[in-house]
Amino acid sequence: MKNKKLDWLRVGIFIVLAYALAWLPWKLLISKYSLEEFTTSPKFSLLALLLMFPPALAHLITRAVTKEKWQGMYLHLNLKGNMKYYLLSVVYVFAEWGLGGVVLAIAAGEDFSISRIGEMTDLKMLPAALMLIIPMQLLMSYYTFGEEFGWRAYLYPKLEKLLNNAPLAGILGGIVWGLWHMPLTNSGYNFGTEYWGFPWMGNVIMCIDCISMGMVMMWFTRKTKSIYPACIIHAVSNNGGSILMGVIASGIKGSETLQLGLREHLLIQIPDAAIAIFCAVLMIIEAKKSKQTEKTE
Amino acid sequence: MNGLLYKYFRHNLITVILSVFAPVAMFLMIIPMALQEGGVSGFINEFYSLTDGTSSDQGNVLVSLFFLVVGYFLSQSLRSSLLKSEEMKKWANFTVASPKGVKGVVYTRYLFLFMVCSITFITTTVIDEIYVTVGAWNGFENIMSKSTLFIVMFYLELLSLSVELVFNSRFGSTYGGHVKFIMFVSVVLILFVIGLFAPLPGGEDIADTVFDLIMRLLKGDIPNWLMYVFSVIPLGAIGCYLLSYKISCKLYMKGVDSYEK
Repeated sequence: MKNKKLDWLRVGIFIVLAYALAWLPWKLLISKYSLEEFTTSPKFSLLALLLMFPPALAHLITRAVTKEKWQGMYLHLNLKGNMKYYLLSVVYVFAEWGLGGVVLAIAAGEDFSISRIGEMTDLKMLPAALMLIIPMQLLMSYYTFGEEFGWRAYLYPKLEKLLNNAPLAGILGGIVWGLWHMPLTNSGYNFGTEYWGFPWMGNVIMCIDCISMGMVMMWFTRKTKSIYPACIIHAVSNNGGSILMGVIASGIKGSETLQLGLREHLLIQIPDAAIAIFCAVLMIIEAKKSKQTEKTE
Repeated sequence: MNGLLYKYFRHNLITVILSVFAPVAMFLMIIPMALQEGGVSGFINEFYSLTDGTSSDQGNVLVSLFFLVVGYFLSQSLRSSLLKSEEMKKWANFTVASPKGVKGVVYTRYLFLFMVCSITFITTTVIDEIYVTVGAWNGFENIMSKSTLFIVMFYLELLSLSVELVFNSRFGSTYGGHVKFIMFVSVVLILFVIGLFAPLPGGEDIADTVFDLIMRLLKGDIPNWLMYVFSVIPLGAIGCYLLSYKISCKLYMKGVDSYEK
């Protein structure tokens, strides 16, 4: 009981630190510079990298302050026997975005035509682009290490232990992760500002996105006992993962000027949510199996 | 094999640090060249005018690229000496007697070198980001990040390591070093001969063509044919590194038998 209270306290400290360390510099920045300047000027390229590290810092500080053992940090690569999960993590990102493109195409109805894809994009370059994105983002995944070392290596396992329910931990963790992006969403970074219910609806969609993606990443982290597959998923998803969706969506009439608004983001979420539900079911089955083996032992 | 990995880092700490920071140190060697004007702003202006990618003077870009490339090669040569302390019969036989055996020992060697290369890549790209950011705050907003170039260099290094490590495992680091040197000299010679004698369509100057290509690359404007080459290099390098590990596992004990001590 005492341990449970202490663990909840740790979760609380972690969340406060992760939010404060990211929100304060962001608030200061956005009060002085415009969002456009922040996203386009090289003045902020280093800062953009640093702003991904507050969750990692919060993880380290929480452990140090609450005198928690430096164990179970998911820092090992654990390649042996897990290579299939590393490969699957890359496949997942492309599949998730690609299926998102298919959903957009279905929603477009008659405005979509396959022949238009060939006219709009250089399909010959697609394999080269895909082959290039994977190894590039494999290296650049240190960018996303800051977030993953906080969320997937600390918050999610803690919540799972406390709630004794992996899918529920995934949902709660996803909400915390989604709301962490609030200053960005509120400034229009993710979905712009011209949509119904701005900015709250944007935050809701962000939470749904984070719950789905977080659930899948949680499954990968649990399987490999390593955060690197999650880092790779995050990096590929942020940079170039959407290439397949772009190619498929180019078949939609007016795709040159198509902007991903709230509706499109919701549509893209459908396959991602389906994969997340599948992962949640897998985690429930795994938990049941491990309970049964515990009983028999 | 975590203990062995820890031992590698502890034993080679200085070499690892030097290897990781060699490209950065070489890059910072431009500082004395820039210290011609007094004051901080004068220094920054001089520093960036030596390395600013948008300058009309092509030499400025080449200065920064030259130092980084030299730094990378220096770092690579330091890396070759990292496994030298391992080459003792008694020690090698002792380590392979551990539960994970030859595979575990060879895996740790490959993992260790991969980690050192990755850390070098991260420090170099972060320093490059700092360089770009400081420049932007001082009015040089068009400086290009060189991370694409570093990625290519990382995978080329992995490719070179995969060849070197096989010879290293079978014949020891001295022989492995010789093979790498021969490879390097051969590549330089071939490039030199191509640079001097190879005719280009349209009678263009090869130096100008190569420089234009570098500038296009830095701007992210990659020609289609080069995109295919670039896309094959990284995956090929990863494949070669894995294959090299498999071959090294088979040859390692033969190599141990040939150790002098």
